[in-house]
Amino acid sequence: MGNWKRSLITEFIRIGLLLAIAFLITGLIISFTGENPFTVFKILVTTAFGSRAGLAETLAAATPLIFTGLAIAVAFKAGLFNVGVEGSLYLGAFGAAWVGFTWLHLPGWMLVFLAILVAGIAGGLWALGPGIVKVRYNVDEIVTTLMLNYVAIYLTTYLVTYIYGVPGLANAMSFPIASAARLPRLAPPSQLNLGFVFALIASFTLWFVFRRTAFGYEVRMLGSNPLCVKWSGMPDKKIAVKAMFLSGFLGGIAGAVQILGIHYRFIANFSPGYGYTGIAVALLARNNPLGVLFSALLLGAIYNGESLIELMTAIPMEVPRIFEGIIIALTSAELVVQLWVWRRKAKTQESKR
Amino acid sequence: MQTKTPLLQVRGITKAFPGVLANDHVNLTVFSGEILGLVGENGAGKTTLMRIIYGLERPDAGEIFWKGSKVSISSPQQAMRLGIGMVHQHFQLFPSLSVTENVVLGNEPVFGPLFSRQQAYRRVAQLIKQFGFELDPKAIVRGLSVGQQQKVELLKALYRRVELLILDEPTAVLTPQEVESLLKLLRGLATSGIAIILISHKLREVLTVASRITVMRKGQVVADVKPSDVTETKLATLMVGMEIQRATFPQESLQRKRDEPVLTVQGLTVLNDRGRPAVNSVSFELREGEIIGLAGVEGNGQQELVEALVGVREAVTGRILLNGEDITRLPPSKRRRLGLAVIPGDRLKEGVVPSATVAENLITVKYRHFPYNIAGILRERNIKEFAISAIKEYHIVAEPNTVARNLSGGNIQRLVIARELSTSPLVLIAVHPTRGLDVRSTLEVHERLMNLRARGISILVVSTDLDELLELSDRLLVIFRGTIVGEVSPRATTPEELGLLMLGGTRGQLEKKLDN
Amino acid sequence: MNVEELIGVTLRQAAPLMLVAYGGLFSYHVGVINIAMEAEMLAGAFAGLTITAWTGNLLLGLLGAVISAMLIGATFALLTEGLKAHLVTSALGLNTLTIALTRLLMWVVTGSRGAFVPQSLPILPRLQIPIFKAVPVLQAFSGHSILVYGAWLAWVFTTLWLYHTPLGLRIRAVGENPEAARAIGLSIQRIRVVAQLLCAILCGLGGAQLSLGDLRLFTSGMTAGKGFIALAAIYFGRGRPVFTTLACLLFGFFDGLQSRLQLWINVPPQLAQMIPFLTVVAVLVFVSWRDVRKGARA
Repeated sequence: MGNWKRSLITEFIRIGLLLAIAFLITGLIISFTGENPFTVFKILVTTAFGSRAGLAETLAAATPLIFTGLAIAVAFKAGLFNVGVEGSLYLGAFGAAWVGFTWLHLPGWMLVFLAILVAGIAGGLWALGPGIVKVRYNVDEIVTTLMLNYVAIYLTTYLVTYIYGVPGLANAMSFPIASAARLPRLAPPSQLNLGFVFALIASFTLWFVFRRTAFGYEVRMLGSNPLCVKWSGMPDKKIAVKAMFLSGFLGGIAGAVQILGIHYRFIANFSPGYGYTGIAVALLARNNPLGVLFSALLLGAIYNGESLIELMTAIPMEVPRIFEGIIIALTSAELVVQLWVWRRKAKTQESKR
Repeated sequence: MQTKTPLLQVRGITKAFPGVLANDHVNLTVFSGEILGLVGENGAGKTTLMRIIYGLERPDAGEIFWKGSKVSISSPQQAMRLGIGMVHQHFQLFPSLSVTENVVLGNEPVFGPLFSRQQAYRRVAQLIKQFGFELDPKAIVRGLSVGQQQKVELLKALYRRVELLILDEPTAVLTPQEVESLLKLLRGLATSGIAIILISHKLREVLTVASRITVMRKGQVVADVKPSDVTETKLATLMVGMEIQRATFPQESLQRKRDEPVLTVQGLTVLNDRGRPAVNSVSFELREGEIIGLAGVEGNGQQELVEALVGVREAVTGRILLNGEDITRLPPSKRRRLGLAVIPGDRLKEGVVPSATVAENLITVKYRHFPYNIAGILRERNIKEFAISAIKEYHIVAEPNTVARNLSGGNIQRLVIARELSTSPLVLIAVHPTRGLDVRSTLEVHERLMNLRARGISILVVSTDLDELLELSDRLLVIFRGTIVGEVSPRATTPEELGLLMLGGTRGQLEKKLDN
Repeated sequence: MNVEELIGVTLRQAAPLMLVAYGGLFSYHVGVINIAMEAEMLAGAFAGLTITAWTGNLLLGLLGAVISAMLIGATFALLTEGLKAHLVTSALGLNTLTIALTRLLMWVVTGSRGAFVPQSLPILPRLQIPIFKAVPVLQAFSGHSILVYGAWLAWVFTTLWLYHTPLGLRIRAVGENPEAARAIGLSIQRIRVVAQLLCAILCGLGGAQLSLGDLRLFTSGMTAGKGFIALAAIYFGRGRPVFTTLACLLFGFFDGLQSRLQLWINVPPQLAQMIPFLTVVAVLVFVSWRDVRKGARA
């Protein structure tokens, strides 16, 4: 029991240290540009948490990040790097929009259900290819999924420019979805919508899957020691492919909720990189489905303040992305362990004298 | 042979790792021109001590004296500069590079900024001739036999003009003929003034060639004797600290219900990772209640054969029949369901998931079945019950929640055995089942295997430990370069004959056929 | 379809890929999967262009490109060697960070958002090769910027360094079996860091060729995955410089083809732009498939 508590505390220290260093470096970079970092941070905090509207917007910003974070976490747990969540997101978004503007006569809840299903399947299928060639031929999934991201963006842009789009626009967008398909807003005038609830459900569902189901067990074991999994007779290839599909599925839903809940149509290039930010979300949460809620909240909060930083200070809105990059880069650095090691080395040096 | 000042003297060396005191105030002395045998069980601290002398580890306390002056050896580079060389138990070679490149790496002859291959070849060829090694300096190490690779390791030390040569279990992977030739070489080196520390658990060999023997047990030096004063049994007793009974197993043949083989392998050919045939049209049969030993120098196709039998690697031709059913194209899961079980050779990499708990590891073969799995959901209570009963039955020192990597080697092996036997297999493949285990655990494993045999389970034991194979097997197959070159009866053969077969000779060729 | 034009554009598009790929070879052979090449390339593209525009001096610009790439490389080495961070995630983080930082710096230094097109920019000198100029088809091999020819020089330089110097031998040894290298007394960390820095230098030059070569501007994220395409080229050749070069030429060809296709046939730009990326995936799958066929792992 004591051991369990100790590791939880270590985790918190670890995350706290990580965040502190990330803020520190980001702050340094900001001061480098001549702006006061504390002003910037104050803007972030007040925008994100300072008012009810702000809080609602933060939750809205966190919604796609919860899904992409879960998507990446699922792949990580299986030992795979699905950097292609962004591509799945685009495919899913388009799929949801397509359902939304094609079947205009269906009742609202059925449209939403269908849209999300189609989005998930589209996203899952997009990740399936790299998954299959990875298990069959050991093709590096990082490069393949990354390449397919670009393909997904071009593909969906093409579809919406030449086939399903409103003609004559500078930035192509699709026909609007049926109003019945729109996800209700939870706290107008903010963008917070029902998608957030879906995200919560997804997070808890995935927690259950990994804790109690056979599939979750299979994925965990595969991620820990694929060789033993093979020797034990577990169907390692099938597990990996299923995990990739699930990852893409969640990525697709991430796109769907953005379309159904906020934009109400597919807009080319609409994602500012939710799929990539999902990496930071998953890493910060150590791939824990419940932890993803918190890290998505944090990153959502930071991105929420993005445009205001732009308006109120002299610097452009790159701050959140800088923060995100530092988090991703540092997460696996064993900061806590290193500090410990340094302390012990110093102690032994002392005793030697 | 003995000079006044010892070449190397260590005093009070102490080194602790988390959970274990590897070296406890160890004193050791070596003189030029002598061969010092260093013996002890696994975990006695021999390798740690050598790694400290070679600069790969720093001691927590103690002093090292080289030629009478105190030194502090902080890196292999420094050790080499002093004149200390080490041939490791697991070769530290670069397979894709040539013999020469392996030997001169770190001390490369140069021509301006460029590496002068010609010069390097010449120097290495000279050295090869000097010691009579018969190696091609341009040969790529990957294509060499194990015995030849060991020569490359020796060349590395000789190229750097060692005065003290440390050999860690050099004969573990050699055939009897290769062992003879190595010992002869060591005697020659000692005569020329080089000091040698020979770590080995082959007590017979150590007694043959050493001029002094130091015995370690649990991190401490417990004896320093002359070979003429001790016997093998006495040494073994010193190593373990108590009398060891060599268990003899009754060899009664059991009443077989059927005579059809349980496992049939026909014309099996398997490719290795590089597309070369590692297993070449192998055929054999395993009958009920029979133990077949597969002997051979490591790297002659055993691993690929086992992988093909388990289903982790695909065979290109041939058939595998389990109880008459063709399992050649079946995945591992189906083969297990039909009665196949395996104890993999690498406990930590193939046998368990180190970061998972004991319970999670135990059900890797059963998690899809009722009552552990209902509609895709795992029933924790049933799993825990199963784990508890397995822990009790197989004497695993752990709780169901203990993380596997925290277990000792012996307990991990018990865990693997418990898991594999829980499926009530018909055929068990055991790949060096006692490698790295202490004497007591080894005995336990052997006992269990013999019990399984008595219950009618067929076992294929793949091992490089000839003693183990001779003790356990009803029949002994020898594999060389992917082919079964001979089948012998353990009670009718000799280590020499076995060694010959392992080197590729055919039965009946009693003249020594050395390829080195 | 103008053959000369195709050859020319292939050489031009392949050059930055080649430079980055040769840098990556050092990393590959020392055993480090370097995904940070994309970040190093981007840093080099930005610094190269900005410093050249600011100082009016090309050499300073190239130096700046190399140094900025080396800064990223040093950070990567610090994270992975010093702090034992995970190779892939630290590199991905550096990529994101570099994209954001270059945008921030671009705004701070030049006041531009999204793209920086300098008013006056010294041109990278072009080399005219008389022998080639005379012959019709071979004309396409002449007249490119020096960095394009520099890429071919880099090929020679890399091959020499990796296979004919002691350091190259040690790099390959450390990559193949770090434990054995340590046992001979080599400092694995030092060799890895040196290899990473060599990689960064070439990646910086590759980035500089991208921004200074033909386009003569900098846009946010302009490397667009080229660092990964170079990585794919290395995988294609399994670390052998000859095949890496071949792959870079192939990818460069398809990259050039897509812009020409838009001109010559009426292909929608998005579809054409997909081609280079799909090519990379196809090549990778093919190579891995072929490797699996040779071995027989289930």
